[in-house]
Amino acid sequence: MIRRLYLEDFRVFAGQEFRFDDGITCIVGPNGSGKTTILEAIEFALFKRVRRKDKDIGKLEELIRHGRRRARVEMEFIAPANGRRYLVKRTINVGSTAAELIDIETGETIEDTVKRVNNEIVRLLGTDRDGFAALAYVRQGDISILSRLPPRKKRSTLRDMMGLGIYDDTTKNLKSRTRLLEKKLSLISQTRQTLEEVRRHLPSGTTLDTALQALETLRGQGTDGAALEVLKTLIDQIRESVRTVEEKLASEELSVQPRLIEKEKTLAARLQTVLDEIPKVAEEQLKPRIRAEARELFLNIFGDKYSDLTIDDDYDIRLFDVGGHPVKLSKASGGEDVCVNFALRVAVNTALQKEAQAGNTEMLQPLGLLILDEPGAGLDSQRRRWLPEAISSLDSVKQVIVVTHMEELRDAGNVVITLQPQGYDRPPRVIVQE
Amino acid sequence: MVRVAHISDSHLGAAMFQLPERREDVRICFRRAVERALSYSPDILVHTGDLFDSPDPSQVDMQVAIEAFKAAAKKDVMVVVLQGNHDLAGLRRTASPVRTLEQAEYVVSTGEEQYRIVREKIDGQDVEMHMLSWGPKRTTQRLVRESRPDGDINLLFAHTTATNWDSLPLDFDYIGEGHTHVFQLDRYAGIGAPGSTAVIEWRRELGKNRTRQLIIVDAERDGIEFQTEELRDVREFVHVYGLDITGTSGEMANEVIKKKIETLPVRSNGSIVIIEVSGTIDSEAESAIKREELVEFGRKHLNALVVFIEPKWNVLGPRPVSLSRPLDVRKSVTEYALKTGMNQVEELVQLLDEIGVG
Repeated sequence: MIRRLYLEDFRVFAGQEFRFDDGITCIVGPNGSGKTTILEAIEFALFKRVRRKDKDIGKLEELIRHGRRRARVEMEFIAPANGRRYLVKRTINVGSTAAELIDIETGETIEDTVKRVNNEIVRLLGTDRDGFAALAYVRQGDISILSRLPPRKKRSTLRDMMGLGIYDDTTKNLKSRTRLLEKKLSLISQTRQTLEEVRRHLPSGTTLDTALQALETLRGQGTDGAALEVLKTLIDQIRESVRTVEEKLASEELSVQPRLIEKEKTLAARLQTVLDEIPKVAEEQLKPRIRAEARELFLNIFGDKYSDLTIDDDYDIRLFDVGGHPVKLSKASGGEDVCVNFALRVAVNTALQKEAQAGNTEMLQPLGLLILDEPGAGLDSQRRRWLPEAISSLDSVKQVIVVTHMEELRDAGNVVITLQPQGYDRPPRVIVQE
Repeated sequence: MVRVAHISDSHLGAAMFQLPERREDVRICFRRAVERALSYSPDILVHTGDLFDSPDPSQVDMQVAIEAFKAAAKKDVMVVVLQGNHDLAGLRRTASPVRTLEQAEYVVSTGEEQYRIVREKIDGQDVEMHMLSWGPKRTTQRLVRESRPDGDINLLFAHTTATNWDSLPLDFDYIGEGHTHVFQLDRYAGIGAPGSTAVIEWRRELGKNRTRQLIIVDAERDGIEFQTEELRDVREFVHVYGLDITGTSGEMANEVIKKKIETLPVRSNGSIVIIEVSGTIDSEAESAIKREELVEFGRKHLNALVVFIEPKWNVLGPRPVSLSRPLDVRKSVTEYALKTGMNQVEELVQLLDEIGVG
């Protein structure tokens, strides 16, 4: 999917081009050599945001190389939505960014404001940044935490990985909508109560009529006309108030509106049940595939010790050893734990991408891209040697980018990009081997 | 005439299921393969890579290799050993243990390089041997493509050519490779792969028509002839596939598997029995399968070293509804509401649009 990446004054890089092809590209270098920067640049080029250690970095200016005032990133990619080639260019200046999206085949600029470029890229990818992260990006952090989570949290994490988190977000929207409706409703009923209270304390129409009649009687008895006028005005004013209160109570706002709101509330509740159910259905649809993929990958590396990996209905992950004994993941060794997580994470991606490829469902446009960040963490040297093969076997994914400090993973790459730090603030030396 | 005995992928040091018994088996199988090869009195014994399972073999395994090759030297057999992906760590980052054997002149290999040509005069013929150790795929393919042999008899030995057999160069009398672990021979084109000397990874090596053979090549200027001899593993392997448990409950599945075990034709003690179980069951049934009991029962009943139940079954959820695009909220809500017979679907979707997705 990604074809070319050019970085100018972007973090450690002064002016560096990287070419990517289908197949496996390994980016190898010691800590701090700029490996992660390449991934950050990809994320930035697509989404204008960069997440580091699970947090968005605050100011994009931090990405500008020390002592410079402007950073530039250019990336060529093939859009999964239509198979066309695009070039996205982004610039970071202090306090502002700019973006441009170009259709390479026609050479035309399609979009040239940041917001429109962002939206168009989401459309071309068929997924936003969160979906992209779930589908394509296997990060070191995600890998190791999964198995240590309590079941409920595990479930929601896996759900997020499958991109089903979108339903939770929708539910959130729905809930805030429902809360709004409830607030409206309680405001209305409060107003109604107050008005009814007031109405109760006001004299009724007949009482006022009687009072008026009494007044007329007084007038016949020759009482002072001016004093009587004062009383009449008072009675009229009271009558007017009663009328206003009664009108308000009968108004559409207080009588019809509550019924409409109630109706909408029922509808929202129904939508809520649907939104609750769908992820469960989707999960069950995807789970067998994910399990099959995860199992294959895991047994590639631990097949001499284990015979199976299962995910039960409560999302409990269990291993079975060669003798058929179940082993709880929490009881497995660190390396096995990491490996299971890696396998699961990759499996979610490959399962989704395979599902799409098979055309069983038009689930997603497959991104055809998988980014593995330090996949070998925690494995002993013997097993790390299996990793290249395990990675090479991910042939359902067109393009795999592996970022690692482990030299032995070089073997997995069709192309190996080596980064050598050069000391001080100098950009790393970049060596490309086929 | 030049006679070549071709074996491959011995993986000394490999221990299936982490069993020391298998580590020993692998050594015995390798010794036997070399013995059988030498019994044909070849001019060249070629081992096309992955002699060792790891770049850092044990002293014992090194000794096993040295002794076998010493025996070959005694019979004046030239020994060629290629470096495979298992004995090289990373792309030639560290030297292969095969280098050690080469430096001690037990074997001829490709040294520090991936590709090397050796010319020998054998039986009055100029024999050109192109040797290709493990390396990056594209480099390997290029080296194969660009090879230009120029002897009376031309041989190409590779751990893998990383090339389809239809696309291999036609200039060689024999092209021999390893890496696949499964015997294959194209007598007409003169291309062969003997497979491994022992069962190393049963998943790809066991099955119908999959064998391991010793390939004997007799090459002359005007033709080539082959003999093969099956290399049986010293241990009996029983491989059962296609046992289907679709639709069974867990208990029934246990019965089906148990019955199968009872009827298995196992001839020797200490054999390795692998039972692939396939089909589709629900997760309740899966958790009711008593794997440890079945394994225990099998081991006792068959007197087996290993009974391995390979779970190839699928597990399905109980729900009848399926979604065409689970990540498309709007579409999924519509589908779900329609399929479960809800009314007011339009209003539902309208509300969804109002609150916004995601």
